[in-house]
Amino acid sequence: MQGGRIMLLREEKLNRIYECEDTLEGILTGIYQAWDASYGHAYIHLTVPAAGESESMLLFSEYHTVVPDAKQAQKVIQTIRKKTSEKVCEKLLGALYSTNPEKADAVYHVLPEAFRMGWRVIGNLADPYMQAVFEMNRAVRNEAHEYLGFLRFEEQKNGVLLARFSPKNDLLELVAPHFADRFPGENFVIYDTGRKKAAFHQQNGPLVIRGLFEEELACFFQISPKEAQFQAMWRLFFETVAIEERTNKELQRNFMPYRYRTYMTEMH
Amino acid sequence: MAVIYQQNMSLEEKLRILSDAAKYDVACTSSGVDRAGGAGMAGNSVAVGICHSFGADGRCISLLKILFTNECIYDCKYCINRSSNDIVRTAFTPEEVCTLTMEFYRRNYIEGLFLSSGIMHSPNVTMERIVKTLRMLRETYRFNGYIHCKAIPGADESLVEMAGWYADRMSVNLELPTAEGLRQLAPHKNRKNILQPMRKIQNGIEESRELLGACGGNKGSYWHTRRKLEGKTELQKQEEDAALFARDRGKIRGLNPHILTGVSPEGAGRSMSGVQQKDAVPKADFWGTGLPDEDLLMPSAQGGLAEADGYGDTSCRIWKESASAAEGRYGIHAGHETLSCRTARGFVPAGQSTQMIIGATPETDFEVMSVAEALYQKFDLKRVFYSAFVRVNDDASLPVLPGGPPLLREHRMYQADWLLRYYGFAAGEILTRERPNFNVLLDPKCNWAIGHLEMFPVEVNQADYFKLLRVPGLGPKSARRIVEARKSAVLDFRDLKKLGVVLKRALYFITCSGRMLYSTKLEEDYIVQHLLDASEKLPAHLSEDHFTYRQMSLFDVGGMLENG
Repeated sequence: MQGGRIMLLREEKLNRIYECEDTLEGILTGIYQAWDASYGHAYIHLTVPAAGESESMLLFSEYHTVVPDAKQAQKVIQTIRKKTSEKVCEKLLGALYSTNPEKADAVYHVLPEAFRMGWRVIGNLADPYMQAVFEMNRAVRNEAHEYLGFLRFEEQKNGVLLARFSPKNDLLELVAPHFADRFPGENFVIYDTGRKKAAFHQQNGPLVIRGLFEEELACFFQISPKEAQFQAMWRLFFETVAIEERTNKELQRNFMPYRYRTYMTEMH
Repeated sequence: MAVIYQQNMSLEEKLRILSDAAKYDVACTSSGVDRAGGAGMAGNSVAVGICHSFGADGRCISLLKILFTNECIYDCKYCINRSSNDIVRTAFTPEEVCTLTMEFYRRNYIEGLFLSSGIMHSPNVTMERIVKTLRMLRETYRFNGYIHCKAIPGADESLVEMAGWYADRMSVNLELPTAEGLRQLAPHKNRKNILQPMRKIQNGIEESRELLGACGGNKGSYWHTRRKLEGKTELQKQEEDAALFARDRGKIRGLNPHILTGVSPEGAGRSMSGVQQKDAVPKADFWGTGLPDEDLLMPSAQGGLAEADGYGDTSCRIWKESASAAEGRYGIHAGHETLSCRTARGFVPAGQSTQMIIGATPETDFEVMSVAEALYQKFDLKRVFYSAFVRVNDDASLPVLPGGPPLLREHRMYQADWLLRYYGFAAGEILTRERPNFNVLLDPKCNWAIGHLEMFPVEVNQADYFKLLRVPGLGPKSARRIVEARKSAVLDFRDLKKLGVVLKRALYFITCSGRMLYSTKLEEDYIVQHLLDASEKLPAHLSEDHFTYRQMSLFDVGGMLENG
């Protein structure tokens, strides 16, 4: 009987699916438009289809493609900040950098409760959406923190410092500002090899994050004459500083899992 | 004794020798200070610290940890660099240290520099080289990242002070837990010479905080336990902190600055004349120019400090007097411009630490932890590090440890150290003169709880924060969440799980509204059995040891030897 009723509801009202671009701006715009439609939260889902991927269409659903809009995205951030707290806002935004495809939907569905409870929503772990969002945020922030240490730059012939990494989550926007603050006088590029995009920093200039064109790659991978020497010295230091009597590769692996090691100078 | 001293060695070779010689130093943390980058400089700092790699021994690599030289006039028996060892000696030049630091830093290999040194010629000459290097790194190379350096016992106070204006963290190694141990194994060192610079740095940090603000440094690590001892609320303590910092003083109304004397045991005797007579809040643009020079450079009206504790120290004053003295004597130029640059970073903003070697001398664990507690209480150290003795020299006065370095003992010490700093435990509660050593099978907190069953069960809905902290399995995070959550509801075990509280060990010690989770018995043997069954999650290097906890607990519990 009950199953029949649900079917009936679905026939009466279609699920509405907002397909967002997988960027902060894209998802926040999706949240704005979905909210603005006052369609009923239970019928709304947000997705972030991967580029080129044709998602299998669900029955009883109408699809909306969201065009990113900076103004709308800004408004969402301001509202979250105003109605909850800086800390909550940070956590919700952090989750949006996650690799988890459910992130947009989870953040959207956290909002009604968050607006009702304000900053207290942070303790509301009983809500599965909230729990999912916090978990995503935690994973994102942890991975970002690891890369602050594990990222390695190589000096190119033209003096540019190039770092490559392939993080699980979309970390460029979280990681790059740290290095812009740290190396104001350097020209550097941080390249996300998986997502084919990079953060560019010009000496004392702003930070730009954008897709990387194939032809741009050509000027990389030619290291400077000094580079090999310092890499060798770093490897030397890395090996000497360990105490032989305390050798413990398992502990090393716990702290520095293999997936981080791909581009780490001392591991090759 | 053949000293092979090679100055014209390649940089690679020097790095190999001088990092190899530095590796036994434990501390490699880059934590304790938040500092943003700035135009024309290289570097910033993050208070939580950043690990850049992990060596084959699983230790974090965060700083370029090197000795300035492995030459040494001392003959400490446990040390690889002792003067009687027949090894190749070398020294960096300040330029070489700067080049390595900068080039490693911009490739993001490291968070900064950890500079230690053997004693070349004299403590003063050594300290002067260190200061010269740091100064070059900060001012010529414009390095703004993290620096940890050693204060060399026996060096002039003015030199130690100067280093403090360039470094984020300083440390003086206690070397061995007791003066007696020191006499046996490090005959050229004495306790007084070690504690003196430690006191000097402590006073400097306090004065700097009052005059210049926190400068990105965070609160002392003994903060939590001190709060408990003083019986203050978190808010009261935070207000005090804020009042400590000149910059924030204006924000807190009606708070008497003299309340601060309670914060440090030695506080009362300190010279604050320069601040108290004048308006406490500096008017000049703070970050741009530092303090008005008159304030900084003014010699103290009170002169030397009251000898509060017998270490006979004076107040730390980089102020003109000693700076120019150092300038004259050691050729270090401390010009007007550089002074403002230095003060903007604060004096040792990330605090000071120390380390002692464990297992080379026969001290009990109780003695070691009592020393650590005294260091936290009286010297306001940020961290005490424990270093399991590695027998690098074949010397008759050193113990032979067939099981290798005492890693489990070291681990227990770090656990106990945590209890001292964050859990409000006193050393005398964790261990006693009658039972002076750690239980190998149980962590120190479980061990304490088993011995104090009369304090349990603890009612989760009523016990205060520090009582909750004493429950095995509850840490500061869980305790805090409980205190927060029970304001709005009466908690049961299901709520605790939702809060992320792990009940595996806690369940034997707590009630929710008078009920225990299962019908467990509050009996020593019963609980010990179950705790051992739940087996402590030891770090990999300890659980993989020759020593298996799991097996031990089976013997204890089931008497399997007899039955099998």
